[in-house]
Amino acid sequence: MNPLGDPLLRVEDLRVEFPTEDGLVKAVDGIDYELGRGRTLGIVGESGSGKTVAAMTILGLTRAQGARISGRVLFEGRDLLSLPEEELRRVRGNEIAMVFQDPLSALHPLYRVGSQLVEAIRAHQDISKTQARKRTIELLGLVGIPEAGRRVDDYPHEFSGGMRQRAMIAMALANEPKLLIADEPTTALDVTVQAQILALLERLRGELGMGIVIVTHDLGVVAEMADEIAVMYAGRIVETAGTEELLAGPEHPYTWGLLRSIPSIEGPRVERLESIPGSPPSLIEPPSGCHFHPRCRYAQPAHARVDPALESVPGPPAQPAHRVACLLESETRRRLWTELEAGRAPTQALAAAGPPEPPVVLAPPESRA
Amino acid sequence: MSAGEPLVEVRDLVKHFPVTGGIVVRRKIGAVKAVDGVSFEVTRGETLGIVGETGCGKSTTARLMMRLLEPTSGSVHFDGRDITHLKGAGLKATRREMQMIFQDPYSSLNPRKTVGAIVGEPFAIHGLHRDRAERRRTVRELMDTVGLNPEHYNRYPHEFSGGQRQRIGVARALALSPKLLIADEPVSALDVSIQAQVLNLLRELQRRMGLTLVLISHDLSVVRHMCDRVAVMYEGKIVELEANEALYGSPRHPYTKELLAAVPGPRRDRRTITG
Repeated sequence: MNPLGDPLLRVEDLRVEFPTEDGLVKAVDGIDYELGRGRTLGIVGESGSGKTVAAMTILGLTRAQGARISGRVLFEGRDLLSLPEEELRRVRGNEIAMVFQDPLSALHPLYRVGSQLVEAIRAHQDISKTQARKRTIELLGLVGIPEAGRRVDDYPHEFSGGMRQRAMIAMALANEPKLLIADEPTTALDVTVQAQILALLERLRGELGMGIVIVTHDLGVVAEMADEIAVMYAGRIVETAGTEELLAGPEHPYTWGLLRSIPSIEGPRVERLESIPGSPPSLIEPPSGCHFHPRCRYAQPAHARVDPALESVPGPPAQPAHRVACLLESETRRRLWTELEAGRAPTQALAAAGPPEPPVVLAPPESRA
Repeated sequence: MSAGEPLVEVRDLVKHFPVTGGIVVRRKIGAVKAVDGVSFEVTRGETLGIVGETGCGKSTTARLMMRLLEPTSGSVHFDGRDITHLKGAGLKATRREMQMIFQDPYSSLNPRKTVGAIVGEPFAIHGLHRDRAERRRTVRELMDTVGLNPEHYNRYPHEFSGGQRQRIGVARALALSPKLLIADEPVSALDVSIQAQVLNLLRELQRRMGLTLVLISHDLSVVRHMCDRVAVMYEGKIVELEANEALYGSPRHPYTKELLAAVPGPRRDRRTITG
């Protein structure tokens, strides 16, 4: 929360549903979060977590798909969800900008890169074409496109993947947005290019005082970039905390699964990666009770009946708050994590630290995917 | 051949793809040097990783090893035999001993064939297990080995998730009990938690079946987890080839260092990379 009053962005009980032939898909099932000015929030999740739908809904990009949307998205106090399309268009690309995963789909293949940026600038600023072109070349230089003055007239296909991504970032930043939403901005890129783009975003955030929401499945990226992290599963946020706090003391079994299934680039090598058994649930008919319980190695019988709310973990209030949606006792969770971190397998961890009742292991054995 | 001797030997391997131009008459105006002089050995039973960024030549190298492509120059030896210019029946026989799994679980399986037919196809091609009932049983065993439900024998690829499809690809690759398995970006298209499942599977199968595994990936963390030795490729050449601990612990080549420094993560000292 910034001391100047309203957070830059506040999402309240956002729900997004898509009616389909097979039933109602609850892509986003009630999420709440806040972003302060100049801060970076990382939203992590795998396929079907709802993270992309949530991000696109902020800018009204799911309206055309027949989505049923409820809740509020407050940008500097204004509810974007209630804005008519023309007003939203004035915000989009101006105060709030978005960068997508695949730059080829965001850049028009038949128009030169320069003219697309000029269009983006002149849509929101009353300046001449010459001025806008000058600004475009400046921006391309800013994002590290070599020989910007010459390359401004290239077509998107003449740019490499990394350069297209930078061009998209340039387009997003053209009007100095207060908020940038980046959906998997570097997933398709080589690691060295990714490092450059992340460094660029970080630098520009500092220079412009921009808030960033970065949506990704890559925990390494959020560990690097984000001040806080929200973990999404089956359309909900299951855990959220400051980055260091989350990485040091995660309290949701899904977060544990994610962290322990990623091989590390440094530190001791493990014999076997922990995997999360089973696969992501249906969003039409999610599991009863806690949506994660069928895949949770620590689930108790009650967890199939009770749906946990996202609540602060006990202890001195952290800034930002550490919240978890899990029915296990916090003490139990902390003991379990300590065991897991010490290298014990889940069954051993459970034996050493688990709750008094034996768990009902509803997850199919790992080998039956 | 005893364990510890090279299963694969690659010497001065070069692959150029001609670039043609011209309006009326198409002429060769240049060449893309996809692989530009690569030499290495793969020891029986080891896991070798080949890492590098887009266009470095790692996938082309894999296809040259498998003789899916013929080298422009250089040689490929497999199990003591020179397979560089093998064709026809000789090549087909060699193919039984080396298999590949691919990155995209969606395009590497024929959507019009059932899983049973896909996994059984290698038998059909090589005239093995001609008895239908026997073939079905063998295929079901393979499915079980890779963690698929043998009851799903008659389902089509679109009925499976990405991770399951990758398992189908693995089952198909193992059908002929090959000596060498080359996995080209086997987990890049999969969610993180499914990646772990497939990597664990590959490891387990390798141990159980005594496979030699070559893993091609751009993901340095995955390669670190899986491989005994790692080759780093850049612009068609190997710039560093080292044992795992040495490469990740004390990399020598500047490009290797740059790659490792670029991997995102918490509280890491990253050099500023310009360019």
